Amino acid sequence: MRKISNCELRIANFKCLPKFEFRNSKFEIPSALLLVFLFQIPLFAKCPVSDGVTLVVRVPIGNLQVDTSGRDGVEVQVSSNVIQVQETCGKENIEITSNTPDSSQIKGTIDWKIVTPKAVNLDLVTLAGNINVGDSDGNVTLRTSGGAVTAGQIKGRAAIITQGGFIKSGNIGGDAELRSQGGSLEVGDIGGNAEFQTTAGAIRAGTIAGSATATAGRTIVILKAGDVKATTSAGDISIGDAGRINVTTAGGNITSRRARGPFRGHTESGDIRVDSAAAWVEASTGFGQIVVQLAPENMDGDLHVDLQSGVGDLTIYLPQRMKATIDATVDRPAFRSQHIVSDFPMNSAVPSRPQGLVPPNRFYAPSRSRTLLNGGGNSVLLHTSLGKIEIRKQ
Amino acid sequence: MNCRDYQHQITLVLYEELPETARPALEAHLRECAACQGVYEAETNVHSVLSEDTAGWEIPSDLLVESRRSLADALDRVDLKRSRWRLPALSVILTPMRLLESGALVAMGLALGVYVSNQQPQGPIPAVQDNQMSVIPRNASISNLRIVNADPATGQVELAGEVSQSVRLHGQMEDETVRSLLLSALNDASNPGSRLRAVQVLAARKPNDEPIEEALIKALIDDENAGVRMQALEALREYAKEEHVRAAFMHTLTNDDNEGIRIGAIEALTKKNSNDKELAKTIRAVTEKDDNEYVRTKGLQFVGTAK
Repeated sequence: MRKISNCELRIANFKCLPKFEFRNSKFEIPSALLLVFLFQIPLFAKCPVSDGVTLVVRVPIGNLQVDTSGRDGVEVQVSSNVIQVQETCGKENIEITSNTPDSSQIKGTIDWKIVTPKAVNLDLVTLAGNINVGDSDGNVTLRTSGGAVTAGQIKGRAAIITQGGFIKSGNIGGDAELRSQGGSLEVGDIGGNAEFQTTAGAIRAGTIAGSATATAGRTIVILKAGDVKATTSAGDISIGDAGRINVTTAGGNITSRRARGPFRGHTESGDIRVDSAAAWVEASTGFGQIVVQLAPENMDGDLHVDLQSGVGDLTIYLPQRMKATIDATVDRPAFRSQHIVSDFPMNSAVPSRPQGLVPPNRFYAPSRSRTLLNGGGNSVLLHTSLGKIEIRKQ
Repeated sequence: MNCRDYQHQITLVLYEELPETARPALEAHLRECAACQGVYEAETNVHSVLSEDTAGWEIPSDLLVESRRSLADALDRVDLKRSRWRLPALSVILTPMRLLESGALVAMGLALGVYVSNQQPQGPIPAVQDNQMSVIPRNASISNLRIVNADPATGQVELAGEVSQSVRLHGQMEDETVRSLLLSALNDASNPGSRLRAVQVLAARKPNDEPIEEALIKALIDDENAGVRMQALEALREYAKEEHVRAAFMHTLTNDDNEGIRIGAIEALTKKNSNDKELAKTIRAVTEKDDNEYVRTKGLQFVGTAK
């Protein structure tokens, strides 16, 4: 008995299952039994692979379980006999598709088991089901209309999209695009640029070599990145170390251990904390404290600061050598406690009043102090409606 | 009032000692009177020069205010011994001393108003005590200050206003007050971040506690923010077999416009109620026209597997 050579189009179990030649009639009965058996077991097909080939999977239903420990070919098994696998073997693409079963035929979960070499690029789509992929040395595209997606370490680019359910992935070597309607996104380190989007979920990422854009419904955590632009409709944002940072949350704290470039942050309600800012800082919160430590590497760069809080204290740490024009205002000063505290000498200033000629009485009026550091320069605007302002030496 | 009085007020204005009530009249007079306008500009220039000269002085910025308030407190105590005060609103000629009296009056009246409103809202106004100032927290600010009652004959005055103060509270979640505040944060907070955090905190402790569970269900069904709804769904997932949680999940499956949340709901329902044939039929009916392929398929599969 020997296996017949590959064919270009094979319908598993029906047209292109491995064919056999029988040299002896004594094999006829067992062979017949074997063929009958093959019709009963999960469907099976196999394609050989070449370098750079892409495995394209388009299935109407079922969970995709991709084992990347295969050696020289792509093997497919399906747990349901209502699925007819169609496998097209080509030099650039290996395509696996199937019929769409009638809704009355669908009973229970359908699982696809695909074994493929690591080097193969993956382009997988299931219209309904989870996707689970092992490590891959190629580029990976995984899409499902709903369900969770998990992936191991991916050396190439990755695009992972689900209409619902979480996405979890190990490190991704190239650019990464992760999207979900509802689930959370969790990924290790990324070698290129990253784009994250989830309407109702959280985002957590490791070190991103390039820039990152993140839109979430809950918390966003990025350990390290180039430039970061992040927005969430609710929840905290934490950017460990990044270049230019531009973050907004509808409610939650914003923290950054180190901003190597300009920092812009806004939260409707929550604290903002930047432990080390190397360039200009603009931060605002409706309700919450703001603490910023300015630690510029280049004193001649743009180091303007604009901190605004509706209700909350402001604290800024400034380098002593910095040239700055500081203007601090508390709209509704505390009744009896000090409201502007500075390590630098400050001058109490007449509060600005856009309309009217005469400034208001101080009992009911803003408290405002101004000073020039090293002759003045970078504008440092500090404003809170209700709270205390502290200006500290770095 | 004549020009001399207005020119005296100009000095007070520059030192921020003029009451709000006197400002409109002064402004109106300055617009009409060139002589007083000239005095105002001259005084302003002098004031600016003096301010510039003080640039190198290391004087705390709030020294003036603090000094004035300390003096006001002292006067406050002196004034207690007097038989009557003159209300600032009734003073025609304003002097610095009278302004200080006014400040003391405002402070004392405020303390009195706060005390009266907090302690004896229906009863008679108590005698003013020195320590009533302590009812106002040091770091609080006061707004919307208004005179409610004033009796020049007795010297009694009642003021009202709002005291605002930022607070940070610490407590155990088992504490009834803390839990009430958390539930309040979930139900009443206008900010989605606060609601999300409240769900996270409540869910981490006792999500099956009845009031907490009810609050989470309400968040799942009613909250306008998808992140908050999803967080509530995740918190309740383990309890999808309980009747009211199941009903909430069915409501979500039927009505939520976010595909991810509907998917989360059907996954929880099918996982925790695998033997419920009736539920399977209901889910099938609800999901067969769902926009999302996964939801439709999940409904079909559940019918096939429910025993």
